[in-house]
Amino acid sequence: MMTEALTLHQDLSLTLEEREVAPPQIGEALIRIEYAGICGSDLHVLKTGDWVTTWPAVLGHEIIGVVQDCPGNEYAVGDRVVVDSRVPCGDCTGCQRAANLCENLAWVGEIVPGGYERHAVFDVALLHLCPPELEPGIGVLAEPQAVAMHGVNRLSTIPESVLILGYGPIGALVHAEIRRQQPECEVSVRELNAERLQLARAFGAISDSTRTRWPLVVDAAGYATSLADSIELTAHGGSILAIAIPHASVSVDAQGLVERSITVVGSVGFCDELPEAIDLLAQEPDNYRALVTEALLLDEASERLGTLTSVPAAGKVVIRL
Amino acid sequence: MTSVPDLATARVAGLPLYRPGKPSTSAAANKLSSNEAALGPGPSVVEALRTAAGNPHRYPDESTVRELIAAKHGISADRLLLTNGSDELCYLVADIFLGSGRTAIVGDPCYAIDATATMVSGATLQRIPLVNGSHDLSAMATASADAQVVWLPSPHNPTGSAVGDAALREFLEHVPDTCLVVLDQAYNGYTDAEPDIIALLDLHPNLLVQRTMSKDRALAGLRIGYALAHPQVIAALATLRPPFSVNSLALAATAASFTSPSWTEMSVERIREGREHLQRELEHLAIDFIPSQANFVLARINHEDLRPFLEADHITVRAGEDLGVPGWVRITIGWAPTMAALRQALRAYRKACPYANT
Ligand SMILES: [Zn+2]
Repeated sequence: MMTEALTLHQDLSLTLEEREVAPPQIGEALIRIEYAGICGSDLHVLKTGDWVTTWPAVLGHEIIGVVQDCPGNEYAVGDRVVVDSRVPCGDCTGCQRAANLCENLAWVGEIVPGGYERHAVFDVALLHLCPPELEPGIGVLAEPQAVAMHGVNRLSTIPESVLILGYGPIGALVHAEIRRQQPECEVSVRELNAERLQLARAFGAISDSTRTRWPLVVDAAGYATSLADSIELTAHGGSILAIAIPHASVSVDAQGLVERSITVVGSVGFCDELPEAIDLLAQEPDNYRALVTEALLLDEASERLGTLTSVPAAGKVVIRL
Repeated sequence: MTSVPDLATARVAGLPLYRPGKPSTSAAANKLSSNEAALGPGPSVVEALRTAAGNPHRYPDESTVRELIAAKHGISADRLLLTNGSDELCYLVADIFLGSGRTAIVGDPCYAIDATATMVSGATLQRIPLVNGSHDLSAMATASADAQVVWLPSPHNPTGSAVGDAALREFLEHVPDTCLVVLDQAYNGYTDAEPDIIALLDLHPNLLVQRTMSKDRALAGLRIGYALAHPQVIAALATLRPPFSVNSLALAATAASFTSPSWTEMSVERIREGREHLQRELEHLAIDFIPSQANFVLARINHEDLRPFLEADHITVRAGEDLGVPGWVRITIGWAPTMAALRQALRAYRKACPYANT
C-alpha cells in the first residue's frame, strides 16, 4: 500500500511524499500511526543527517498507533500500541545484558522508517500493548517518559534538592519523575528559554535559587559546556545525571570531579521502563498533559520542523497523523 | 385553591432552564463545548485540595482568600464579596436591583444566566442587538436611562469580543449613576489588554466587577467567583448571600491558585497560542468568525454540518442554537492535540461544504 510520509533525503531536504509500504509478514504488524513525537535528536538529524543508515529516511521514534494488519495474530486489529524505539543487534555482549547496552544500538527512524508518516510496518517484538483508557495524545510521551524514568532509576537515591539544567521535554519529564518518586524533593531549574522556564515554574520548579551547589545535577541540556557546568554546580559527594546527548567534546574540571568525589552517571534510552511508562500515562494523564504544548498536522510539520531547530518549543511537539 | 405542585410550576412558568454543554463521549480533553480550562488546575491546587479534603467537618473560613484577592487588586476587603461561582452573584444582583416593574439591559445574544436571573426576579429584559459581535455601547447607554441594571460581559459570551478601556470609560460616563453596570470579566484572563478596573470602580460607585475562578483558574466544578464594588453594595450583597455559600474546597483551591500563579500564567499562554492558531486556520479556510479575546471562538458554521466530522474523535463543540446565534458554533480552545484534531475536522468539513457560509 501507499502511505504519506515526511521524507528526509540525503541532501537534507524534507518533503511530504507517497511511500510504498510492503505488506507485513508473519512476525510483523502494519500500524496506522496516530501520533509521533518530535525529539531533540530528530532535530539534530534534520540538520546533520547523522546516524541515518537507510536513505531516504522517515524520522520519528516516539510512536503510538493502532494495529491495522497483523498476519501472525500476535496483536488484534484495533489494538493500540506504543513502538519501542530501540533496535538492538541481538548479537553483542551488551545485548546479553540489556537492549539499551547494545554496542551497535540503532533507533527506529534511522535504521527503519519511523513515525513521521501515516502507516508503517514494525517487528511485533517492538510493540507494547496500551490499556484502552490511554489517550493517544498522552501515550505518545511513553518513549521519552521511559527515558526519564530510566535516568532517575539509574540513581541510587534522590536527594532533598536537585538542579535540572535545561527544561526541554526530557528535563520536564525527569522533573515529573522526581516529583512522583520523591514529592518532597526541592527542584531548581536553569533554563534560558522564557516559555520553558514558565513551564518549569508551573510545575513548581524554583528558578531563582541562591544555592551555588546541589547534591544532584541533572544535565538535560546538552549544550557545549553543560557537563563542565554540571561539575561546577555539584556539591561534595554529589552526583550528575547526564541524560542529554551533547554534540561536541568538552574539557571538564577533572580536578573538581575528583576532589569533590562526584559521581557521573550517563543514561541512554531505557531498559524495562517502557511498559511502566505506558501504564503511568494511562493512570495519570493530567500530570503530563501540559507537557504536550503543540500538535501539528502532517502537512504543517515540515514548515514547523524548520523553525524548531532554531526556536525551541515550550514543551513536547507532536505530529498528529 | 392551587395545589403545591401547581404553585411551584406557576412560579417558573416561561423561565428558561440552563442547558449545560454536552459531555464528550470519550476523554474529557475532547469537550470543546463548555469553555473549561483545557489543562486543569496546577499541582499546588491539587495538593491543597488533598489537604482540604481531610477537613470537611469544619465550616469554611473565607478570610485568607479575601485577603489574597484584596491584596492582588490593591483594595480593602470590604469592596469584595466571594460568591458560589459568579452565577450566584447574578441572582443576588437581581434580588437587590431588579424585580417586577424594573428593567435590565443585555446584549443580544447574551450570557444565559444574566437573562435568567433577570426573568426570575420578574424584571423586564431589554435586549440590544450586538453589532458585529460587539456590544452596541451607545444604544445600551441610551437605554440605561430607564433601566436599573446593565449586564455587560467583557469578553462577551458567546462572541469573545471585549470592550476596550477607552470605550468602557466613555460608556460609564454616559450611564446614569442610578443604574448598576455589571461588568462580567469571567474571561478577562485571556485578553491582550485589560482595563484598569480599580480606577473605574473609584470613579463609578454604580460599577460592579464580576470575576470567576471557573475559567483561567480551572475551578469550574468548585463554584467560586467574586464581586468588586462599592462597600455599601458589597455589604448589601453580603447580607442577602447565604453565610457559607462558598465551600472550603473551593477556598483552599483558590488560595493555592493565588499563592502560586505560575500554572495559570502558563495555561493562559497555551490557550492564547491555540486561539491564534485556530483563528489562522479559520481565516485560511475562509470560514467567518469573530476575533476572540476569550478561550473560545465563535465561527459561522452550522453545527449539524460540522458534527459528522467531529464524531471520529468524539469532539463536542457548542451549537449556536443553544446560545442565541443559530448557524454558528462556539469552539472552546482545548489541549493542543485536540485542537489539531479539530483543525483536521474543519478541513474535512470545508472540503465537503466548499461554499457554505463564505
Ligand atoms: Zn547488540
